[in-house]
Amino acid sequence: MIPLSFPEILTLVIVVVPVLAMLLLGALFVAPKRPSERFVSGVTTGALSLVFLSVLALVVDFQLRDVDQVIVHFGSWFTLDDYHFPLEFLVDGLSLPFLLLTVVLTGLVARFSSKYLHRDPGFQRFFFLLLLFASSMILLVLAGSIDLLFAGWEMVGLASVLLIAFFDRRREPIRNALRTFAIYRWSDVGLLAAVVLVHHYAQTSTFGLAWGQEHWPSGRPRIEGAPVHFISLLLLLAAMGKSAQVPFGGWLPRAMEGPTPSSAIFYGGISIHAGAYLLLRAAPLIDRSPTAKIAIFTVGLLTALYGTMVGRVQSDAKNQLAYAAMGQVGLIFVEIALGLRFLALLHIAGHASVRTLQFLRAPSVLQEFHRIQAGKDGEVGASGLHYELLLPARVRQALYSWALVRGGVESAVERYALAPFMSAARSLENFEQRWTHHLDRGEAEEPPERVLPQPSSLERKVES
Amino acid sequence: MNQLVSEIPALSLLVLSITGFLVYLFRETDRDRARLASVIFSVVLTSASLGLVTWFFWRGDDVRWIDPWCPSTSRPWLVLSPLSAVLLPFSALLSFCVLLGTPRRFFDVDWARSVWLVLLSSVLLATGENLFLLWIGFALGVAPLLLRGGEKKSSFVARVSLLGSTALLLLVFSFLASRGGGFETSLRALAELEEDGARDFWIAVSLVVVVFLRSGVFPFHSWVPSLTERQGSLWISLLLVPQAGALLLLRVGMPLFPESMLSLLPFVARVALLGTLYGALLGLVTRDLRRALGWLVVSQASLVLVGLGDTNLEGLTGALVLWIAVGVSLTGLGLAVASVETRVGSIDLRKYMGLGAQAPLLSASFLILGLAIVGLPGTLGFIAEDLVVHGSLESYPAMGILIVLATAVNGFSVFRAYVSIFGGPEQRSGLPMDLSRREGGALAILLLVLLGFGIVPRGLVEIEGRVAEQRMHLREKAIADLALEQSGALDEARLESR
Repeated sequence: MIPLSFPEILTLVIVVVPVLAMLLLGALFVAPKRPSERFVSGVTTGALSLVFLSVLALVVDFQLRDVDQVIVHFGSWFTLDDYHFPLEFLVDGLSLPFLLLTVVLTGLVARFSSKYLHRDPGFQRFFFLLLLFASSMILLVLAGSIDLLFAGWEMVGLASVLLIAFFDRRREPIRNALRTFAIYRWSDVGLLAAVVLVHHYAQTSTFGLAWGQEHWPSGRPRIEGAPVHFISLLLLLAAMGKSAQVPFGGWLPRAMEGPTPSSAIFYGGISIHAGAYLLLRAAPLIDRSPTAKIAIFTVGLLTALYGTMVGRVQSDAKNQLAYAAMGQVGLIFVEIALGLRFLALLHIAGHASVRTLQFLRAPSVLQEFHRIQAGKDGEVGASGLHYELLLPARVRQALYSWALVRGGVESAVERYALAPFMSAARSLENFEQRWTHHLDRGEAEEPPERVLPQPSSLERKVES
Repeated sequence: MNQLVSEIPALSLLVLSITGFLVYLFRETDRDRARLASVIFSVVLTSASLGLVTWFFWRGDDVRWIDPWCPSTSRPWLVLSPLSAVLLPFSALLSFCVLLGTPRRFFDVDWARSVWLVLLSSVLLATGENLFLLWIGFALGVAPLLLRGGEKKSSFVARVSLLGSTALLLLVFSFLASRGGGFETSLRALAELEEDGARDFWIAVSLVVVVFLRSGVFPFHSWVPSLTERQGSLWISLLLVPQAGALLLLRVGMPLFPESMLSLLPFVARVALLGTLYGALLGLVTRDLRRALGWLVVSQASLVLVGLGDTNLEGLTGALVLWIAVGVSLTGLGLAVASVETRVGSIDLRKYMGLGAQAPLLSASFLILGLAIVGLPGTLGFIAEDLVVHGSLESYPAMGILIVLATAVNGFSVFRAYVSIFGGPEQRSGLPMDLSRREGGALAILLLVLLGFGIVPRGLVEIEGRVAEQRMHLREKAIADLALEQSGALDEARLESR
């Protein structure tokens, strides 16, 4: 057995420890006696602390040895003739800072949650899902191949959706989780298609070989011609879904149904930047595609404007933060399109930290406002000038109305993209039911009920 | 591939023991005794088949073992090959889980008989080297419909479709047996005959129709949701999980008609893809959980055929791995749905049943089993999907994207079912709602298989890869033969023109 080097051992610890902690908490669900909150939060924070120390040790190791990247190779998960699924992890100038950010923020949120969710019936479930998220995000960030990145990507999505539906006794969180899942699955189509095309054209899936990466962000991709544009656009599609970029951003305010700590770490801190991370990781490829760069720029700019305007009219603190986060990630996309990668990375780190703090403080923002108000004898002055005041009143009114309905983006997607398919599917299902029920013998029964269109979310709100 | 006569008549003993147990079951009337005896015997059978398979692969998998009790070794009746060596223990294990995990409400002696009939059918279809045995195996797989085990309502559409496929197969085999001028039923002997142009092509086409009918592939799919709706989700494990149609294609279609399959397999893949998309789309809008499950089966069973229709090693291997993954997941999902129905009755997907808090184990099992079907990382489904999508993209690029789309839609349908059953306001009943030890044991075994092979897939992928390689050799040989024929015809034409 070949002895592992120090970076390899550290990488193994970083990847494996959260998984083991998660499995431990999962196994305890079938234990006769539920573990105490102290034990559950202790396991989580202990695991994340160990990972944090390992990441720090990696940083120090990098500095001491003055290296740009370390590729940790654990063989292939499985092999078939020329095809193999490599188990390769990449620690470099992109993954290491993102990893540090992930671990620090997740650890802080875990610490916060141990108090915030005290005596909540889903305490253990929350920490299990938090560890699932941490394990998946670590896998995504450290993945040395696009296959492994996809696996982490899928699991991050699943953890996110299960946390949105955390308060599953109510209907709205469940509906919102379902909608979020639908958008995630749609964007995952882009990533999986990109994975397969990379395999096909580069004859490998490892970033080092496929992108010809010597040290991030430079590289000479093996792929050339039209596939470069196609793959880059598919990666953009995937990134748009995960990072809530227009027109796939409708899920983000709905995701606020989950517990505040999960909103903080997912939609303020880490998960929402996963799309930007993907684009940064694919930088050598995107550099070769002006089409993709224009598309990323356009999407980012539109989202920044959209998030800013719609965020202004929100009456709920978390929703306001959600749109603000959406807008900031849009700006990050713009930076990536312009080739300002280190700025984008710095932006991610700063934005994630500030937004996580804002989300964690959101539940107490009203209390703080009342304290300020009381301190100023009930008079709180205007917060300052806004650029909208430069616009004519009629234009401001129109923009306000537009922002209130979120630009009609969601309803347009539902009406023009989804409705035709759903209508056709319902017709076919009604036909299938009718003719098989007509032929099936057996006990007499009523004719099948027609499958009718589901009421829209607005109609459901009106009914309730 | 080498053939040798095995030292012990393991396959004959397997067939005879199952037959003997069936004779006992047809005389048994007490359901609890029937279940106990079935569970014990299936444990013995599963262990024995695992032992047999371990010995087989330890001895080297580049051989086929002829059962020594066959009358003639040149025309063997039962043969153990790498393909059947993988399928046998899985079939035995799935039967064990179904017998153990079926809720009491759905279990009666007829049900036990049905499970054993299907197991015998799987063994004969996987190991039979004779058209008689293959047809008997196929027919036994359909026999449970005639027993009408489980629910009292039965699906006329399913009965007509499956009995029709059995009758059509008899016709196909009759023509096949008379292929060489005489009457030959040995697969080995038939494989040595050269294809005879149009006649053999139409026999191959008829065989493909049987495969489509039996597998519930578009446009012969309607019996599947009808079956699950009227007779329950457990029938999936009886009539669909064994993949009788796919077995016929692999064991009869590809070896006996390699040249016809060159043109038919791409057609099979495209039509099956249509079925994959169709099932996924309709599963999205149906309001009945049983029908939703039926559409999921249509979609995923079709996906196995898409992979079998691939012209490369990854796709074909992926199909074989998907076969196992889908079989295990669907069996588990069928058991989970049956457990849910035992507790709350039929499920309308427009409503929320709120079972999550009262049945956390059932909830978690349902979610993992359901998502495993659509490729959850860490499960065998992820490995299978990875291979199938890669393979399809190599063979038919546009199809690869559509497979990904169908899988995404299926994932959404699974999640929709999950939140409908386990989400929503809790409705306390005072009764224990979570899995019983028996049900939990069965699901735990299935989850262990999915996750175990999902984390350590290497061995299974290598074995299925070798099975796929053999089929690829047949294809390459057929291409080479066709090229020779065509160049021979070209030379003749040139000579005539001079």
